[in-house]
Amino acid sequence: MITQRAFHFAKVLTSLQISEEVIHGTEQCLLICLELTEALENPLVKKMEKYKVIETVFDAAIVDFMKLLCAHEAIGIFEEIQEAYEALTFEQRGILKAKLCYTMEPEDAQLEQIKNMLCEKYQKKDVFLQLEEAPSLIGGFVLYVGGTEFDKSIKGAISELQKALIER
Amino acid sequence: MSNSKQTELISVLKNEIKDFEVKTTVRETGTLLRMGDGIASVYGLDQAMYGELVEFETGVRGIVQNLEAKTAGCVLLGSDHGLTEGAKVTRTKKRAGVPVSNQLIGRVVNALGSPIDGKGAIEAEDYFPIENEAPGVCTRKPVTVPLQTGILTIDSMFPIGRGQRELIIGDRQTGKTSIAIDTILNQKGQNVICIYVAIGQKTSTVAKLVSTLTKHGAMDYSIVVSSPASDLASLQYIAPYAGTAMAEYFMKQGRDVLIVYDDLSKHAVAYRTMSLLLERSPGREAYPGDVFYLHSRLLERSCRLEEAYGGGSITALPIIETLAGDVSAYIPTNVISITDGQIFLESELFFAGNRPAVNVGLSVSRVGGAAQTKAMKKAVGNLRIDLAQYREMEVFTQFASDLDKTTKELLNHGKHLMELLKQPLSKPLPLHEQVILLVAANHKIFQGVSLKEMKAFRSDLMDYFRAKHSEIIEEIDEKKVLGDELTEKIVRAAKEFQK
Repeated sequence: MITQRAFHFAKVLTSLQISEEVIHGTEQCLLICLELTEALENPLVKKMEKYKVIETVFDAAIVDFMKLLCAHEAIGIFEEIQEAYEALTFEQRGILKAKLCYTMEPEDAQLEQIKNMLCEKYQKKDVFLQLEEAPSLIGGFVLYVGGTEFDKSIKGAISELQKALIER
Repeated sequence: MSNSKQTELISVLKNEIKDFEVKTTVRETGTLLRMGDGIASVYGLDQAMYGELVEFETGVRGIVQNLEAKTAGCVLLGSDHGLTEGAKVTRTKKRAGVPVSNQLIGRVVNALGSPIDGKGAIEAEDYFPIENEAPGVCTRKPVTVPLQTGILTIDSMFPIGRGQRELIIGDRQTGKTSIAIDTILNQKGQNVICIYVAIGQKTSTVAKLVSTLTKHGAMDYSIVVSSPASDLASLQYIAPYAGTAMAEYFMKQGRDVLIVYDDLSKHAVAYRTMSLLLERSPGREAYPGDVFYLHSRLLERSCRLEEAYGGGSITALPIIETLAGDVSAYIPTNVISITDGQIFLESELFFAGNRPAVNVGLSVSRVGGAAQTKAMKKAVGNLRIDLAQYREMEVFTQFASDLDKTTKELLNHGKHLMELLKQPLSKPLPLHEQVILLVAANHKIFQGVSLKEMKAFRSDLMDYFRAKHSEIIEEIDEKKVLGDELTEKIVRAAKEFQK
């Protein structure tokens, strides 16, 4: 879930042209070492002390950005910022992010078909398709693109049938 | 369950299952972030429209009221039971609306148009959006046809025309709703459909009103839209719009509709609650900045249409409750400026026994004059001026013995007029009765009658006219014109009765 605040920070991060490895490394560091995140979020810890820690722990390329987050008490939303950054990068490269939930793993040809359909529909160069097995669908699949769902699952059809019967 | 119903149900199920196939359904969804007091913040719904109906996972619906960069603020139209953070919210791509049909007549429905009177389902013929654009300048017709309220004070001095918006304003317990109910009762046989919208009222009050309407046979041409005080603020907010949507359905069929909003003060309060919960900036008296637009866009939908556009009309009687007679408060001034006149009811007059307690000085009808029947216009004469003079001189009544003859006569005439304008509840007067009484009053027929005997005298006078001079009654009702000859006839007959 990307908030507007995270989106603004992600824009700044994109303009800094920091390598993806560094950003990913920073995220991992914050995720693994929770004490570090807590300390950087703690308002009782002095800003200068926080800056010293940032300079020691993180890559030089991202230090200034981390200091900015620290000054705006936004360290806690780094994960969101990273997500927004990814979405922005995809947007810039003309890549569409989608998620496919299935009950039976689709074949490569089927995946290719889905990607082609999405590229055509959304006028994009490529599709980054995330795959996830979802036995609760009973059969078929659901494709998520942003806020839109393409539901061709048994679960969805049953719920439609249920709605139709209730309406009658 | 009867056998035939069981067979029908089984056949429906069989058909649905026979036609069952897994189709691709495309949905636009969002995620519920937080919720409280009937307000939900939904992440996503990028393409959602303002005022769009959305459906929550539990089946409950909501209306999009705030569009922000990443989230949409929605008001719930039902219970939030079972909804949790992360629940899915789906766009319906439809604007909020109500089902409409002729079957609505005689029914009590909620703000969503669903029946609440236990008389079975209402088959919808169409679906009308609750928020609709008001008819344009070229589609409207001037207000020229009268809408008789049956209340002598109003029909004589503040006439209401079909398509007019006349505000009923006053403190609590001054008879605001009674005027509206009497007006509804008087529409019997007038080919007018009446819609009564109860906003934020006690359910018992609405039940009492429905029983009054049923007792007088007024439910045959009426619809009651009820959103009681126990309803969510969002439902109270949409109730008048839903009622107007129903009125528009009939207006487009060329029918005349009378709609009563009881009351818009509570409607404004419900909107204030909703706006504050939606985190909109509070303004004067904590109302949001668009509270004027809230009522102006509602009342602008009342009008009289040109024949080419259906030819029907919506006459609106909004009600506003004031505090200690303060008409200069925020909501009263707003609605006064929107409407085409107001009937101001005063506590003092009410407790002095003058019912309806209409303050003649502060009440006005801006467009109704053109709609008043010629007979009534002529019969009224100088009624307003006489009453104004009486109210000015009223203070001197305590010095009665020292007053000159003219002043005494003026005070006496005024007292009789005040007595004449008193009217009991649920007893609307037909046009001919109003005309005869006014002509008699203007010709000082009541002068010699004591105030205590006035009620009996006017009742006997009308009985006399019905028994001996039915031709006068017929002439007034048919021609609706009061010539000099007819005036003379009325005066002569009244004098005959006096003897």
